[in-house]
Amino acid sequence: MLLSVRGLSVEYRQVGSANRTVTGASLEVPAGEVVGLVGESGCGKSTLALAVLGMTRRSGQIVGGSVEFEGQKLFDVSQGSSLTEDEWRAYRGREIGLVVQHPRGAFNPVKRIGEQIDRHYQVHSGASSGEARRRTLELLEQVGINDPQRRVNSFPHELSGGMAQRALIAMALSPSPKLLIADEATTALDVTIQEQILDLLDELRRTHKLGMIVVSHDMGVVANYCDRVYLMNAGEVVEHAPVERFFEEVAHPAAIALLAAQGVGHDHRAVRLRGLPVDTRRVPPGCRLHLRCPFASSDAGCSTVHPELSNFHDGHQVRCHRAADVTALAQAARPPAESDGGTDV
Amino acid sequence: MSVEPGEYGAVGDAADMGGERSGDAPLPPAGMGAQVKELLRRSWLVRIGLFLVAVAVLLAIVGPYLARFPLEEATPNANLPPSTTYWFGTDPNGFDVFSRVLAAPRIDVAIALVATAIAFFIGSAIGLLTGYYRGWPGEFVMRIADLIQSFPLYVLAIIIVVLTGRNFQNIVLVIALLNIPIYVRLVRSQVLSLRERTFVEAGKAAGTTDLNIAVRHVLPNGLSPALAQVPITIGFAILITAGLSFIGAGVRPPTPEWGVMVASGAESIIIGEWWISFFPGVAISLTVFGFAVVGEALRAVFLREV
Amino acid sequence: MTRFILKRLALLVPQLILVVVGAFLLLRLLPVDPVTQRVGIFATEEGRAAVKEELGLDASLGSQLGDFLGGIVRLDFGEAWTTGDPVFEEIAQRFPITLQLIILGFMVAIAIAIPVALYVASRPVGKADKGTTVYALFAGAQPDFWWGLFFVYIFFFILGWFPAPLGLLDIHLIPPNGPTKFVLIDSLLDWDIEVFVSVLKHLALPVITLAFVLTGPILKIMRQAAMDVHASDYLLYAQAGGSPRQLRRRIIFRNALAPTLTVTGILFGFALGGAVIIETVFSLQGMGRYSLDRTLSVDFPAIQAAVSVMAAFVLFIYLLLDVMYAVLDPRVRYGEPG
Repeated sequence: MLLSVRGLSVEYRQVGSANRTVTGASLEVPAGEVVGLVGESGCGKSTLALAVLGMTRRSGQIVGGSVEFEGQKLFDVSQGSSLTEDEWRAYRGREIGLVVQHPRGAFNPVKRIGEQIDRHYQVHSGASSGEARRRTLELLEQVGINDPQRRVNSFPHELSGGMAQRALIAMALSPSPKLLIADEATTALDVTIQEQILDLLDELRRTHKLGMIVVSHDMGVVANYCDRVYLMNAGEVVEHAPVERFFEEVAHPAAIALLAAQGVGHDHRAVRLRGLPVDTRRVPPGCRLHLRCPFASSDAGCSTVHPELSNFHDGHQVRCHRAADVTALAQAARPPAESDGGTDV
Repeated sequence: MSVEPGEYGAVGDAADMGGERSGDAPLPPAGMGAQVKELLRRSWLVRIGLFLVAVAVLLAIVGPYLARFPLEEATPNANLPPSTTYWFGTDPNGFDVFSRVLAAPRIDVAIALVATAIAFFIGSAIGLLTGYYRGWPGEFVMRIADLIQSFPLYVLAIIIVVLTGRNFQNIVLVIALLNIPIYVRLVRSQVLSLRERTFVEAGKAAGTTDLNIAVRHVLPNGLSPALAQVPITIGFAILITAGLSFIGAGVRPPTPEWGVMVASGAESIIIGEWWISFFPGVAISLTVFGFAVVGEALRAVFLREV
Repeated sequence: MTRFILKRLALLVPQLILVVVGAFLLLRLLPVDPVTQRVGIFATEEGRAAVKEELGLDASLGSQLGDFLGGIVRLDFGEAWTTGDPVFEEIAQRFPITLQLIILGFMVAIAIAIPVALYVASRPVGKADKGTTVYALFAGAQPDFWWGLFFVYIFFFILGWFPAPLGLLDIHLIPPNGPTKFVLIDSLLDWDIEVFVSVLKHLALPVITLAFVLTGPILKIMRQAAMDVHASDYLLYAQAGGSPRQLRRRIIFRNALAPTLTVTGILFGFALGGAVIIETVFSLQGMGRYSLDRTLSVDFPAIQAAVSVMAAFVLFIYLLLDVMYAVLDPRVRYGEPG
């Protein structure tokens, strides 16, 4: 296994309270596979992505769980062990690349793009500046930036969002990482460029056995490029399955709602989660989602018993008391002709 | 089991209500009171600051009546160290330092309050007008503000006060003049950005008049950074008044004024007679610090940086 | 970059003209009559007219202004009414004294404030951070004249570490007559160590006083700027990308420096005017004292020249800092300068 995350919890301390934005999340990425991490915004997927690198934003803390990379333990909170700052540097950037959603904020605003990508490569490879520049130009070309010779001299604020995004991807790829975490990395791009980049990543996955975590709320991207899907809600992993299963046999209300909202695969217009995402500072007892969920029933214990992530089918796990009913309803509402088109990878 | 939605507060509850109140000012006064209370409860520093400010303002009113000796009547008891008779000692004129330290806010704090009030009202008015009705008058005003601010502030103050006459009124006017550009800038930039905000647009669409928008929406919001500046200006004005008087370009001795008093002890300090300058200096130090703390706290509340 | 500097320089010219004309007009607009100041209210008409002519006030306002502006171009500010000496010479003697004081004060303040700000910004909400915040608020709101006297009492009267606040040199020493007019530098050029050490000792307390009040605002802005960088996406991303701690420290320093520069520039202008106070406390014959003394004796040529020179110098500092800012932060180069 390339990456295995077990029981990861992240907490943000705020004045007078602690906000556990990720609770006990587990996730595995085999080498050369693409794992989709989906969920509505604010569900904790970006926090989880960052926590894989042993990091949080300021005032945050990883309070539980462990991460292993190629069998090597990066940290394990229960044993109180973690790599040192210097040891981490052998993984951050080098083995595990990260691409984030707001690329212009991710670049240092006062340094030229080329300089930053060069530096990133040099830090991890010890290459000379000449070599680094050659690699930078080559990668910029690969991610579809026209006239890279000119663009390396641009400052971040001079690039369009799409161009900055591609430059960031080039930077993340430059040390040839084994795992790439793409946090909404293509969301801001227009469709053709998005496809172009996803195809490039797909090729790297095949040729270099690059493993990927694609954090996204775009179910289309997930359906077309991912091998496995993890669905998060209110800081928990609530469903995970191989991608075909996920689209065929969707079993969690949050998944249906997400699909319905984007009109992918099924016609579940009836299924809507009420209100806004659950505030993880004040989670209700029982299922975290029950106040918003149209399937919630006190008979099933939705408002009293917190559901565990349990096997629904082989390799398909769901955290829902009413998973069977949800699937049944989903199947019933499913227009026969559309099913194949939506799930075909 | 029934659980009321909202008890666990989905993030969006407050935002849901926002739509219905879009016509109101986005700074809710009720919330502000609560924020001030919260700040006072949490911060010992803010409590100290408010206490110092309260003492200063109180002394500006009753200070002269607390005098234990005549304030401006020279006696032969010069340069006496602190004792049970003269708590803070006496100065070269034989004045009781203690009485004069308490009486001085009548001058220092009063000058600062009046000058700040003038700067606030005139500066904000100009800022509001030039920000709301854009065009060349605004540009012209800003160039004047630039000009005033590019002169070395103390030197400008010295020249104007000395050449027009060293009295209360002229010091007030100079300090006001030097601070007006700050308020013009603060209010103008705030109003310029507020103009673009949707609630003004919303007001326009609903057929409200210009004046109505200006008074109901732009005014309260545009003034908040200027209001937060007020205590800072007061503290600064006290520093300038005392500074000018110290170098002999402000209030005339023997008026009981902190800067004058510090100056009266400046020569004696080399021979170790520290008390003449020490006590009025501590008074300035604490008073200005108090206003600075309150200003910082106000900024935290108004600019939502708590 | 060249374009930016040129554009910024072009802006300086009208600014300079404005402050010089402003300084001239200010004196003419104020309700003060320099003739009466000189001859008293009982003088005869002839006496008044003679003095008026002597002072050059008989000419029209326009031609007086023309003379003043024309003189400036030739570095000639006319003769001081008080002393009859060329104002330019007088200012050339006085300006370096003030500049030396202020530059040293800023150097000390920056050398202390920046490392401290960087340190506390990396450990926010800790004891050191809270202490620094309170200190910055306190130091930024203090009467420097009083602290100067206080330091004199402690370090001269009680401890005897530093000399009495009476000028720059021990009375028996001869000041150097070097090319730079900065006593500290000229004494070194002459290799007159005795003078150099004496000047250092005399400057210590005024510099400490100035640095003390300056550390407040510099600490405050640098801390805030460094906190902003700490909270930025790009620093987080640099760490996630495995960039070494050393490199990230450099990013924090460099990116926090730009906003600090702006505040430092404004402070510099303020300190130049405020130097009069420290000069008074320590009996230094700098520009501040010069402006004050000549204002008290209603010496128009000296006042207008002093104000113009100081304002021009401040504008020049602003320009320098704008250019430095543009070097540090490329985003500025494409916006409007100034």
